[in-house]
Amino acid sequence: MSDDFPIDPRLRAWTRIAAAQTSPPLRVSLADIQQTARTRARRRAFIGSATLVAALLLAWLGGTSMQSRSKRPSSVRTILSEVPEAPLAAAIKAPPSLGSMTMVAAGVDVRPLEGAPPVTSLGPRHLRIDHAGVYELAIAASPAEPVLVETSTGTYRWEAGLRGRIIVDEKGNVRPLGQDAARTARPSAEQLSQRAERALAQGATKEAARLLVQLVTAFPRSPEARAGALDLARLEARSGRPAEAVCAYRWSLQRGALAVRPEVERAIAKLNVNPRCRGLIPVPPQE
Amino acid sequence: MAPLRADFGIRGLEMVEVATVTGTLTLALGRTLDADTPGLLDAARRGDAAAQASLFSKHKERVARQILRMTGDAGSVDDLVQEVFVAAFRNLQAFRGDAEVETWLYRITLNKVRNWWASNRRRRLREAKSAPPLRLAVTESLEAHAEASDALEAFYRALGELPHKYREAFVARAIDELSLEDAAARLGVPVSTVSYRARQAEAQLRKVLGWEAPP
Repeated sequence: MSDDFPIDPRLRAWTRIAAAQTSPPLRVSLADIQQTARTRARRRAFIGSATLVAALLLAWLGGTSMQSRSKRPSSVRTILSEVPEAPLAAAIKAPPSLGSMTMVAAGVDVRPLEGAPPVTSLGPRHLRIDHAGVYELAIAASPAEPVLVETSTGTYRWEAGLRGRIIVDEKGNVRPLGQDAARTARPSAEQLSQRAERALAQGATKEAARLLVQLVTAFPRSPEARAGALDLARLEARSGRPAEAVCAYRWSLQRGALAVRPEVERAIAKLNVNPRCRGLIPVPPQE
Repeated sequence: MAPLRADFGIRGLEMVEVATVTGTLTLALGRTLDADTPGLLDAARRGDAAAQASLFSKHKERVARQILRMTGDAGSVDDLVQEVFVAAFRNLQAFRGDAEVETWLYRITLNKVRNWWASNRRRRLREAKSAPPLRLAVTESLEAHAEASDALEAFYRALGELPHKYREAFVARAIDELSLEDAAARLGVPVSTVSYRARQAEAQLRKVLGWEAPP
């Protein structure tokens, strides 16, 4: 402690403990850092050029938008209706952490799901989908202009302010898949943790284990996952699966559950097995 | 003259001359990249992989330790170290060498940790509904708390309640044990400001922990 900063002795004890912390061995390498830097640079460059192109196209289309509205083809169909404002607002304000979400234009996001191929952008609010598949879309309410989508069966109109999933079949027909599916299909780490706790409390151990595995694999860096891995390990041990339990314990240690390291190491020793693990899964000896 | 054996420990040079009674002996040395030299920084700016590796290798442990002291979360250290060095390499062109590399990295670390605290605070606010109120039993042995493994979490939870500037001054002074001058240089503020913020931080920490007055 610095002599010229005398503090409450109770706090001093805490700060000494904090200062004595030892960081776990670093797993991040220079290669990881350089790769991340390259990816981000590419993303910045893409967003910069996409924004520029969109701005130029908007400026170019601005003068003709009234004409194009009046000349809209008669086969255009509205396939989705308005959804409440709340999820839409969330979609607009969400940070750009949307995985492979393709920003077609400002406020128009389309994400191919389940291996569907990407869509083709024909303009800032004009797309073409050439292949069958499931797509998630989010269209901001402002500007209040629809998005035109061409498929092999015709042109569809997606109203501004929509968020949901659609399926395009082999013939090019488009139908909605539940407008708010995107929100409910991906529970957060916190939600998964709470569901697992509820399942544990109800004695539904299989369901709890399933939820914990989902938590750990979907949100491996979250604090909930670290705690979840420990719960999973205890659950596996109680269920007579020591190898799985050891893998879950090791996983939690690798993820920085250092505060409970002695306890975890004792638990591993008690299980008396030494499997090779790939994440949470024990690797069979023949591999 | 009896033969002598000498070991040379010379860094950052490629050649060295040694005068002997019979003349000058020139020794060629393997090139070593001494981290933080202007030449190395220039090379790193040009994207020289060896130079960047040298910078990373020299500073990564210190940055990791700093992050751990600032956050108390070992599980976030890797992510934050990555964020710090991604930002550092990206901004290397703008680094003019006015400050030490160490100080420069410290400030990048401060920014990344601020972001971490902001998102962590939002998470904690969500959890606060189900969590018991934060109040530590002052009569309980601190070592016992530490062994119970939640000591640090409780401490950092309290630290997380402070404004960024107060928390940073407190960490610099009370955990890193920097002098006022060093803390001021690292944080880029006057000495008087560091002193004031650290004092305020201590007072607020005691309040958050339910310790109204020193014992």
